Amino acid sequence: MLAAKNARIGQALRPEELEDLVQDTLVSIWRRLDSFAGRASLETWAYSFCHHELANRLRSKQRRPQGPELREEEAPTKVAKVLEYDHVYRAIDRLGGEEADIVRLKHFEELTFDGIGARLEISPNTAKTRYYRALGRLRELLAPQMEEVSR
Amino acid sequence: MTEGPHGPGDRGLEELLDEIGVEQRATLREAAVLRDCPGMEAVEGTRGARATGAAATTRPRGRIWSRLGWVAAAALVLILLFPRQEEPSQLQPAELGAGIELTVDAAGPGARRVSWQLSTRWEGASATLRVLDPELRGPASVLLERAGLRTRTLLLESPETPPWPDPFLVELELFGPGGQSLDSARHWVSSSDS
Repeated sequence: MLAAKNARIGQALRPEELEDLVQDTLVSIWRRLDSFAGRASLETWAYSFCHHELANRLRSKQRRPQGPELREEEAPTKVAKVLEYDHVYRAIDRLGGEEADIVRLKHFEELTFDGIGARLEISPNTAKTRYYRALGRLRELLAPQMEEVSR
Repeated sequence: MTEGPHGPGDRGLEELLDEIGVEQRATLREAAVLRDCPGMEAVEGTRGARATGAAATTRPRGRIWSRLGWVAAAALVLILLFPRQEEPSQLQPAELGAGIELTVDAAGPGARRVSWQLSTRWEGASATLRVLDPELRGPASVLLERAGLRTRTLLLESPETPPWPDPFLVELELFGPGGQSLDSARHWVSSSDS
């Protein structure tokens, strides 16, 4: 997953950096496996860990002036996307519980409200109501980043 | 992120989430064909063992092994004792043969507040170091290291994670150039050892 992600951002991490990242991420995922509730797929759940770890690594790499440069000219734009998305992943994590799962199921697993309702054993209308409430909370959580970007 | 008609992020939040979803699904599709991506099989093995409790050992295999050229002669694992004390204590490094060395540090005052630090070093051989968690049913394992010539230290605990299992099992396995398992050894590590 991380190798694929790294390829998509122009191999911003070198092979040895990627290997270290994979191992660290694996430990992180494993240690938190108990928090996996099974409502969204494991891949969706684990993906956000990978994204956090990758974003952290890219941030620290950007902060190190003496560190190796990003490898392709287009990489900075793609790296910026990773960091932007990371704010969203973190905000979803902060939502927690069923609201976070509904957002993940809707946008990351492309389920309809009927499908979400079936997965979570709630009615489609309830799923819809909770989804829009989750969006409202997400907007609040993301407001600082939004304001920073719009400034 | 742009500002939408109803306030910051209003645009767009659903659109942005869709965009992230598209990126995520594309990455996952591409990841599915990277069969030799280190770590993925270990994740799947851990997942399977948790779900079923089945006794299926996770053994990373694949093309990567065929690329690793050296053959190791043997492996051993160290059994060492941990005194409980507040300062980190380093056990005598063990030479395990074939240029392999394993050291384990323990730190922390309580049995459940122990941080573990594993340092491994070996030369030439293709090796896998796993740490097995007895709290997971079955031999669920995590691949922590796969290297030819490496020195690496792994801190297995952080303030954000639950306490590291105590005891835990360290397993070292060496592979030949064709990916065949040459030797393996296991060692239980516990803070209650004295």
